This record gives sequence, C-alpha cells and structure tokens, in this order.
Amino acid sequence: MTVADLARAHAQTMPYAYLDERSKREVRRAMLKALALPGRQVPFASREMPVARGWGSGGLQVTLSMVGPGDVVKVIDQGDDGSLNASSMRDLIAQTAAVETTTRTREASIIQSRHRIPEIPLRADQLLVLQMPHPEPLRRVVPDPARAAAMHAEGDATPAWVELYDDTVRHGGSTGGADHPILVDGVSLASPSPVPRFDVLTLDRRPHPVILGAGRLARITALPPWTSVQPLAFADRPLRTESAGGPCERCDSAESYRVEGNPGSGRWRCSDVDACTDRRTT
Amino acid sequence: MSLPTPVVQAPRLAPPPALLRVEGLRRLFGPGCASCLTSTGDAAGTNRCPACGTIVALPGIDLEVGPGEVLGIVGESGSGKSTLLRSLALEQPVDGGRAELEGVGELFALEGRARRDVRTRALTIVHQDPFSAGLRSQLAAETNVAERLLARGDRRFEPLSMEAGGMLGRMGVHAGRHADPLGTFSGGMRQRVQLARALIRRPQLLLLDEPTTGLDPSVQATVLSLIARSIDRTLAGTVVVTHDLGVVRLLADRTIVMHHGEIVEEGTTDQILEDPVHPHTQSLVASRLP
Repeated sequence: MTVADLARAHAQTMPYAYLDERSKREVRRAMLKALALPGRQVPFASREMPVARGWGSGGLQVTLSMVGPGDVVKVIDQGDDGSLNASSMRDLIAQTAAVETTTRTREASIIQSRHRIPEIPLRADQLLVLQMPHPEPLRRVVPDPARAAAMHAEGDATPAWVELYDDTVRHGGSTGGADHPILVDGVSLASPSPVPRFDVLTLDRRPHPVILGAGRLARITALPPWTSVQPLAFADRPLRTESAGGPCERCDSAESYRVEGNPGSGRWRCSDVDACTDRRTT
Repeated sequence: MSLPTPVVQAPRLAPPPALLRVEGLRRLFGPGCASCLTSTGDAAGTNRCPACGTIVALPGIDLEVGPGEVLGIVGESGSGKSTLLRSLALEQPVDGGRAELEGVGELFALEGRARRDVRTRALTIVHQDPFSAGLRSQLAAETNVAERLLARGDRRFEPLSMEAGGMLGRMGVHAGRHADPLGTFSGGMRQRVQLARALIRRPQLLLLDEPTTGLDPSVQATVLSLIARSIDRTLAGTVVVTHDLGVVRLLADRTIVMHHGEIVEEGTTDQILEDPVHPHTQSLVASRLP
C-alpha cells in the first residue's frame, strides 16, 4: 500500500508535487527573500520529506515548490543521473508532479544537483537547485551559531580567512575539499554546498538563478542571475582547482572535472556524465 | 654676611596626558543592594556584602596609565586584580565607571564589531593560559599570530606571512616551527606565541595577566626579558597583574596593591617593595620567598 492508497482510503487526495500549497508558498517566500539577499542564509519551515534530512530534503523542497506541469526535471548526484539517491528523488518528483524527466542538461528546466554543477553552460530560463548539507561557512571555526550569525551581520569574515591562512601555511593551499567558501557580491560569505573547487570557479555571474536548499538546517541561500561570486582566496594565492591524473578515458577531455573509477586504478572519467556523453556524440 | 642663595623655582611641567584613565570602575557579582558598597572593602575586611551576599569585586576603582608606563597590580587571590584587568580588556561587562583610552574614547561604551576591533587593534591581553586569550591549539603558531592582521583586513598571503613570521622570530620561535600546531608547543613557547600575537599590531595598551605563572624559573626569566624588551620597543602602556613581586620589580614603574577589591596602596615599585606602608602590603612583601 502506498501513501496515495492510504490517502484515498481516508478520502484524502495527495497534493500536487507532494507538498501542500501552504508549505510550497512558505518555501517560495523564503526563496524570494533569499534572492533579495544574495548569499545570505534565510530560514524556512523545513518540512519532513520522504528522504532523510541531509540527503537532499532541502533541494527537494525547493524543486517541489517550483515545479509545474510544463517543467522538465533533471536530478544528478556527483554528476551522475543514475545514482540511487538521484533516481529516487527524480522518481518522487515525476510521480507527484507528473512532470517529464531528462538526463540531458540542455533539455531540463529545473536541475537539482548534489556535489556538482553541470559543466554544460546553463541558460537564463533554467533553474539550478543545489542540495546543501551545511549552509554555514563558518561552522568549522565558529562553532556557536549565534556568534556566526552576528559576524555575518557585521560582514566580518575573519574566521574564514584564518582557516584559509592556516591551510596555506600548513599545506600550501586550501584543503577545504568540496566546501570552499565564497564571497557573494564581495560582502556576503556563503557556503556553495559541497561542490568541488572546479565548480566554485564557475559560479561567477551565471545567467540563471541558483537556489541552495538545506533541509536539515532549514536554510535557503540564493544567487540571483549575474551575481558576482568569488571564492575566498588571497590576492597573491588564487584558488587552485583539483587535478586529475589523466584525461577522461571515454571522451579524452583534459579540461573537465574527472574522478578516478577505482582509487589507484589510474582510470579517470568525467564526473559529469551528460557533459561527457555530449562531447563523445558531437 | 653672605647673601641668601636665590631660590630658583623649577618650571612646573604639565603631566603628560594619560594613555588610559579609569574612573569609578565597578563590578559586582550578585544582585547588589544599598549597603553593598558601605559594608565591604578593606576596612570591612571582606568583599562579600553581609546583607545580600553579593561579591563586590571592584567597588569603584580609579587609576591612570601613562604612555610607555608599566603599572603593576599585586594582591592576594580574590582581591579583584584579575577582574580589573579583564574588565579593561573588555572580556566581561562592568556595572559602572568609565575607561578612556587615548585615541579610542570610552571603552565600556563600545559594542559589536567596534568592540572586537579595539580588542585586536588598540588593546590586547596576554593571559596565563594562552588558550584563554583566544589562541587555538589546532592552528599553526603563525596562524595564531596572523589572525590579528587578517582582522585588520590584510588579504595578501606573502606580506602577512613575512610579518607574522618575523614577529615570531623576534620572540625566539624557530622558523621551522612556525607551521606547527600550537598544541604541540611547550608552555614557554606558547607564551612566546601569545606575546607575538599580542604585539603584532603594536597595541596602545598591553594587559598582562600572570604572564609567567606556571612556567619554570629559567623560562620565566626568558619570557620576562622578552616582555621587557617588547614594552621598550612598542612604547605601549602596560598593566601587569601578578602574584609574583619579582615580576613587578622587573617590569613595573609604578605598582598598586589591591585588597578586598580596593586599592590600598600605590606608589613607585621601589617604594612599594622597599617601604610598604599598608599592613597588607607589608604582609605581601614579608611573605616573599628569599
């Protein structure tokens, strides 16, 4: 028996796109506020979702609040449309909103992603939704959320610079891995969600909006179109992107973000499956 | 008959303006009542109010520190000297009074970022425990020092590293250890790092809270020598709180003695140590180890 069967048995109907209209309006209001305050963390009433908190419940609420019958939805996890997590969420969206889904970046109107930003350039009419487990960029250096909030309000990003300085002194550069902080419009310190540094450098002045949803911590952050987004980096030490051990064994690209199939195997492949496919077929 | 020697009146020099002027500094721990101030203090022999139990840590302290002057504060445990220093360091709220720092203004009126800015730029405190002063054990020694420069807004790595590393070098921290986490340093080395951090922005007012307590005598001597040299170099006004009369003898130009929250004696350090007047000061001086 499904939830829909249970609802029918009790004379209830499932709302369109899973969330009831009040919940969707609440999420959309938070998104509008976030768009008006680029890079700021805007609280919202995060709902219980049929995925564990921290597994994309924030991104899912954003997508379900925005999706309409005419949309085409793409969901990726680590650049891959076929992962279990991406497939489950894509199925949920498709079943509850009756929308078309796709694995092709160019065909999608809404792209929900975890850990990657599609490498194929997006258009102004597309929406990028990023799942964001940790919206607070100062969490590692300022454990007290109230103090961190005060520092954001005062535009004081010193703790993040201290963390970067320490990484540079001890390791020669940022070791933040897939969570390098960004400066939005030169003033707001934000977390870009756990995307690789390769992707962080592509966030500047994109023609489409980016909405970042953190369901567990009930925060939404937004980057309106054409927003200035710079990685936190010293003027004389630009941010270095990750390096791969070789070109993609499928498309032969040496420019894309590549991951090793099995650690130590020396076989590198593009992380963005659709971009890799696109290169092979064109 | 000899003529009387003419009396030459020496020109009276106006005293230099105080770097720090504190008036009526009050700090209570408890609800407070009308009799708190009259029933506590040196004369009453206690700083606990018998009516309401409030601890009157500081009933209304007045003091001044001149530019380049080192003021020592001594007294037994619980006399209020550390409360006084932490109030001046803006580490805790006060219940009354003013503290004017030259070029900054009224310290106790500062809030938010302005308060934090003053605490990294104009005044700085060196604690007995470096981690009480905000140093972090997991960060490299150089990072702990450079944090003060990053707070100033410097955003070029190489000049920052040169300045922070240079200060650590002057404090005797070998260059090969600048990138090591502070948690791996000995107590004496941590104090050197703390001192480097405290002095990197040439503060107007340096506050030292038992800076050598807990260190072995040879390390104490080295750290005290560093402090004395640094004070000469920066010409900062300095307030040093200590139990150790040897520390004030070495560092302080002037010394005040506190008892039950009040200043019971004040004078040049030699005067206090060689010719104490107040019975409590006499007791402190007499209890010195040979």
